[in-house]
Amino acid sequence: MSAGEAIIRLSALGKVFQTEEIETHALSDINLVVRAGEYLAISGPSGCGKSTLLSILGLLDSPTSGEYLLAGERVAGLSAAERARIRNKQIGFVFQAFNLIGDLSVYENVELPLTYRGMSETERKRRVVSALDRVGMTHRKRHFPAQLSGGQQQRVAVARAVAGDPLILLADEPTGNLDSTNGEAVMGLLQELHAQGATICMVTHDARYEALADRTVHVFDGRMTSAAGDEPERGIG
Amino acid sequence: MTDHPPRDGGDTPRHTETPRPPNGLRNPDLADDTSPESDEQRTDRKAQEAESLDAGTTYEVIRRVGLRELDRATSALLWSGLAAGLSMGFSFLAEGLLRSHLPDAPWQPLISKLGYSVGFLIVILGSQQLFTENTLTPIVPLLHRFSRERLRNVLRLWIAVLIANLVGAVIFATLIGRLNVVDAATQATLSTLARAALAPDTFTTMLHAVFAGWLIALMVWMLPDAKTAKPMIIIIMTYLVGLGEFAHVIVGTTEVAYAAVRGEAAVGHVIFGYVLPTLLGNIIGGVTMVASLNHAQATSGEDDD
Repeated sequence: MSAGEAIIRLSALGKVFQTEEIETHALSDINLVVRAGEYLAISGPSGCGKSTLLSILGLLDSPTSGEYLLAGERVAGLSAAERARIRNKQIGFVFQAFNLIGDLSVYENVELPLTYRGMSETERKRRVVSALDRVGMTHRKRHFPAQLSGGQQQRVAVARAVAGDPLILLADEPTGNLDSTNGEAVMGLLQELHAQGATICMVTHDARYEALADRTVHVFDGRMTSAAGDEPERGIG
Repeated sequence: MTDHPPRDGGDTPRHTETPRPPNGLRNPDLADDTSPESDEQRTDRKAQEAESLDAGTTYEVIRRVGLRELDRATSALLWSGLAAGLSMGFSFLAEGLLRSHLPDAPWQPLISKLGYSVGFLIVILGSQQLFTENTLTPIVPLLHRFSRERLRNVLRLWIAVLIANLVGAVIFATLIGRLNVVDAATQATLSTLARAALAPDTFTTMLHAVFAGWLIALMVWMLPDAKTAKPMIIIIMTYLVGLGEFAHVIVGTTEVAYAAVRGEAAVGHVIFGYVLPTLLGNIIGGVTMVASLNHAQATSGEDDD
């Protein structure tokens, strides 16, 4: 997609959890546009709904109302299998807990999601080598996750996320399990990726890291309370 | 990094005052009091569920691990298998030690069988080669892409690991059967366990072994996604094998070899009445109930998603 084009467009999006007699409005009236090449931070206190929002953006969960367009395609009502297919091709995830597979080497961890795309081995190898090079982990490709520091594991997780050349990189508290040195290194890596053109959407509660993004949206009590630097259509919900 | 300027030139308000909740909206703190699971917990759980490995990914992980195992040199397999055979003896010994310190009550196996898990914990967490794990791991790549060369390689691995495991088991049995490693009371308990292993007829032994092979291969299938729960899964699954008195060829060989070493069982009965039917049952349980079924599940595209 060309720079500035809308990758994500949410209109009056809502999420209600229903358990027995309790109806909890996790998200209400969320309006948001994320454009190609943008670095967006989503911030807010614990329990505000920011992780729910990221789960919906990442097609890990579905909204109960409103519209979600990903690259112009309506994705809110898709089946789980269809969401998984789109997720694999168009979304890269970086999680707080890295989520690497301990039985696989660094190279295999990065390669694994690509195997589901029917890519040739040569193409997979090219992408894995390139992704590991981008995060500076080529020299550790034969190592296993348990042999790496937390910061190195997160770099591998970032390589896995970008190897598939996704439309957008979603990061959920990517420094949450890291000390400050490793945390800053990972944030520096995200900035480098952004400078190379990656679109990033990051959930954080750390004001230092929030400040690195182009734009920050604040979520409180399930509503977007500010969308700094945005146009009116992407403004407060 | 904290002084890094924002990309938009700094006109973005970065640190807004924490807004008050709009009227009519729930207070998250109060909501947490009334809801059995908070939004964040629910979202985390959903994310974890989405990130837990589906059947196709588990299959792919095991296939890759299997290929690595098939690449190992025979000498490495033999040494690792010998170490595993010796280590598995601790399942027998730990159960015997626990049982010898417990009263002869109906609930006694519920505790003493916890000892059965000890050898498995050592072997699996120590990355040693255990034959019954290999009824799944190298079989998956064989089923994935069958070739005569790969079949030969699987047989090479099986034979090397099985022989080494059995040799290790017999050495362990000889050590505790001939030397005063444990006191007389524990030796008597170990003899009781060995006699119990040899008691069922051949068919029953094989049937028990099918269930043992099934459970062990299921455990191997579960491990790639186990993360920090790995020891717990090993304990639960192997405890079940022990409690059910399902025959496991390596632990069982330590038991029956102990009886043979002490002159309490004939070698022929040990081999033909126990070791061979148990081996066959373990292979049937692991290969058919887990490897083949999960191969079919994963390759037919019917995963958990």
